[in-house]
Amino acid sequence: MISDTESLYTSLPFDQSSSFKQLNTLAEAAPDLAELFRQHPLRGQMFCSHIDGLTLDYSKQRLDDKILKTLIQMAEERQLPEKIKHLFTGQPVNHSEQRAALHTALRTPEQAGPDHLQPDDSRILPEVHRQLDKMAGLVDRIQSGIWRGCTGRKITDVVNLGVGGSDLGPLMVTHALREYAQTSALKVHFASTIDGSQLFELLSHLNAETTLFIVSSKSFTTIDTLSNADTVRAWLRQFCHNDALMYRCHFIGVSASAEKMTQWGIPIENQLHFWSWVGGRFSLWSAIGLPIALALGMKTFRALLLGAHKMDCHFSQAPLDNNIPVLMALCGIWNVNFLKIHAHAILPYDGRLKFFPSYLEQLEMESNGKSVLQSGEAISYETCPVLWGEVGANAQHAFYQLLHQGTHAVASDFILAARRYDSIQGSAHYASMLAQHELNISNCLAQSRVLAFGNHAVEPSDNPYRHYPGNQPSSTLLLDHLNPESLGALIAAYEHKVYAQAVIWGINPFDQWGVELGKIVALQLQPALSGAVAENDSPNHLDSSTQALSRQISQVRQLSSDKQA
Amino acid sequence: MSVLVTGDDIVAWTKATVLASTGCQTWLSTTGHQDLSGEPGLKRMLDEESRSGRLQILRNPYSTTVPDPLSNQAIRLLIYARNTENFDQLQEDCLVFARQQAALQNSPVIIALTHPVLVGTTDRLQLTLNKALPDQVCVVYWPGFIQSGRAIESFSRPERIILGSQHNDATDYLRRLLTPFNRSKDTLIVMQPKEAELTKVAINGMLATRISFMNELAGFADAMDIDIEPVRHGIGSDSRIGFQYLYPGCGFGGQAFMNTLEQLVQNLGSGFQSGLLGSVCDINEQQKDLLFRKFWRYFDADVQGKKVAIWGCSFKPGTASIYGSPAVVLVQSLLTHGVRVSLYDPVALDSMRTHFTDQALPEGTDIEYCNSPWQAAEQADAVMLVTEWKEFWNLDLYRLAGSMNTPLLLDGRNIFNPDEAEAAGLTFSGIGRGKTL
Repeated sequence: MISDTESLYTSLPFDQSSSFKQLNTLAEAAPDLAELFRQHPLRGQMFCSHIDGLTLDYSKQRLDDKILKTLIQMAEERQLPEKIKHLFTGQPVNHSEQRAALHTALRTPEQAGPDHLQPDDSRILPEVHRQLDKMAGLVDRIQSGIWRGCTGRKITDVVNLGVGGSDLGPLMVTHALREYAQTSALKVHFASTIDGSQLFELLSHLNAETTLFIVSSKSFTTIDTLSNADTVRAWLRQFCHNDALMYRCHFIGVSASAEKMTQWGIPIENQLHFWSWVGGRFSLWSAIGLPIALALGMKTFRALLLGAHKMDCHFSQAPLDNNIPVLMALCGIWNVNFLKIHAHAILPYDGRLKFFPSYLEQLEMESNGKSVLQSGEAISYETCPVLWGEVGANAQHAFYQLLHQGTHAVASDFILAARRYDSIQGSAHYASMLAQHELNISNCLAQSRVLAFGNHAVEPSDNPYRHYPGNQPSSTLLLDHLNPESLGALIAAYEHKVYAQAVIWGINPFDQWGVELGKIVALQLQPALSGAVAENDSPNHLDSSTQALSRQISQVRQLSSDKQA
Repeated sequence: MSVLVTGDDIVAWTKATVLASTGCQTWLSTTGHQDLSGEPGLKRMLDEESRSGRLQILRNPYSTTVPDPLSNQAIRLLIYARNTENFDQLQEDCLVFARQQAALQNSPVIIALTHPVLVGTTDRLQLTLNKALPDQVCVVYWPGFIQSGRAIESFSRPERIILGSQHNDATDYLRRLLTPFNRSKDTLIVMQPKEAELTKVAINGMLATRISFMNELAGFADAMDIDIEPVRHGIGSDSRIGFQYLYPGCGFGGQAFMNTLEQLVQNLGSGFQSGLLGSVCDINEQQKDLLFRKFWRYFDADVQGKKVAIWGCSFKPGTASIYGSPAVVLVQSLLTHGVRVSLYDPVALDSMRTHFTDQALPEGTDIEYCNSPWQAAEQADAVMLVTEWKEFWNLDLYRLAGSMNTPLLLDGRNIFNPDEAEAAGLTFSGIGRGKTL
């Protein structure tokens, strides 16, 4: 461990470095995209970077050689290479909570290559693999039907109760890789929302005897998840009159707090652990990935880990100017801080990646939506942009109008798999599926082209309604195939992009203090709404808006319950 | 008449042996050794026919093709008693035979398929053979309805003989061959090959459906405190329904039956989905696990370290076959939950021994093979009756209750009277006998 944690963040603020000023000057004279391509007809080949099965094309970003060099110089000034080492070796890169962020260790093979950076603490990898093996054992018992419900029936359905990192990652991956499922026998569902909407629907048709619930929460205090778990427990009790049997046969807990899981009732054999040094939104590689392994098989889950590990090796070893996550980070910084583009769209041209935008919304905005330095001082420059997205071809019928002709500058990431539908070769609809895939590819390429070049991409027009200004920057991430390995690599690339940006901005991507206050205030309001406090005792320190709303809600609820009575 | 039978299972052995006994010169080309101990009289007949020279067994361990020594022997009929999932293999086997024989015959060679096949297989094979040897081969479908435990009888005293044939010449030849079994009244039904193929699999599909239906009723009966036995009598008394195949139980098995069913599922699955047959098979698989679930519930899942005795391992009495038997499923489940298992079966213990040595047992588990039901039940926490061998029906239940650690009797074939069992001090649960555990 580094004794002087001060050295973990650079003292000189980002906007006072010499390269920052240089980049500002360069931005004032930055040419538009059509001009950049005129200057360098071979840009498309130059501004891209590959690793096995994955290509980043950033030629449609508004930068040239000089700008890129200066951005890299800035990354070096911000000590990015050293900070990457700190991340992998387990230094306390999460300064506000004084801990490491070792999600890379979760996917390091037991026999990692000698070049690969590993945690300084040699106890970590064996512990990671011990939990992975325990998880594999559980997966095998459940999938093979050894695991039984309280009446002795085999499990047919699994419901993951979790929110945020304990939901979005597993949900996204499970959906994306469904065609790689090794067994189709087990149905995996997800319930996250505190209002119980998903459970309301699921509990109406699930068979309690054959359903297993995973309660996933790093702290095991997350009220969203625990309120869902309490509802499930109440539901199960009507079918199983022996609590110990119910816990043993119908619940698995995944958490960093064994003690809290035990308190809630999860037997020790049914507990899977991960560690305080795994951030929630970086946790799908840990036991939080249990629903992935149950839905798709352990082999698929391990292939996902392997893909991420390959990206880890690339991130920690490749030079900055040919390093995919670093280049993604630098394009983002250039857009946000110098071109003043504060919106970022994620546009996968692949229905399997339907949940990828929501996953990235959390990963990027919860990590880098910060306005203080690691040291706690306020900062005076922009950090994470507003990030949103949708399956590209569908978004074309939704918000692309704004991208093409609105008043906001927006940067975009296009994500595309080159090959698809190999598994149905020979079937009657293969040719027509392939034609759909080709249509999809041409739409993806057309959109990034029109965003970049506007009218230049086609014939110019005098019609003001048909004017396309273009010059909206984008990157394209091209996968050979979407498969467990390439998805692992893609996710890891974004994780490392987030870290690299945080290093440059000088912020801590691994805490999320911004979400704490809302939780506390919600807890304060709850008694007033549940009727635990008489109306005239309701906290009159509340603002008049909240008071009026809660009064009206109480009246409506009272009225409808009177009617029912 | 001269016949070549190729195959390894009971159908092949029975057809070859019984045809030899009618004076046919018969060759059986087989790659395996079939255990005939569960088939009354078959082994004796086989020895007799071998001694007489009418039956010759050709061990042909490397392939299923027809062996060389026959290349100069004129044999008109090949009975192909093998599975036909691999059509290329089937085609190759038949071509070898037909090429050899076509040169030695004046009339077309006859190839009879006997195993359940995908509907259309016979016609498809005919078409491909026509290309190689035009007008020299007739392919027919002649399903065997050989039942394990009564193989000789089911072949030599058939209720009816189904023949799928489009060739009058081949039909006449087979009619002549089967005359010894078709005397008092003509039971031969000739139809198109496709129709015969579907008939073969549909018969077992219908029987399986009746059993699974009864099992579903039994589950309901248990939940509603109804005894299924009088209900079964009531249903069976309707002459449109009859009593056969109305017994609820812990699941059916048997190689021929299960293969046919699987073939039917495949037939119906290609083209349109069969909801009904899928449910029939699902219910049966769940029934095989039912006694385990009762045991699990009785002990509130606390089963590790308990001992369970299984009485009867074969899929039905009178056979050594454990193919698809609930006993196999139960042993597997019990062992994976750390339950000690003791087995007793008058005939099928060796089959179990072979099955469970071939596949690795879960770590730290062992199976005790016993010489009597009493030895198996000694200090057990449950007895599961799986096969209704006659010797179990009138056992002394008082003695049983006294010898067990936990007197729990789970009757998978409804052979015991619940009141008597309870009077003897046993906790008793059958299949649909009105008591849920």
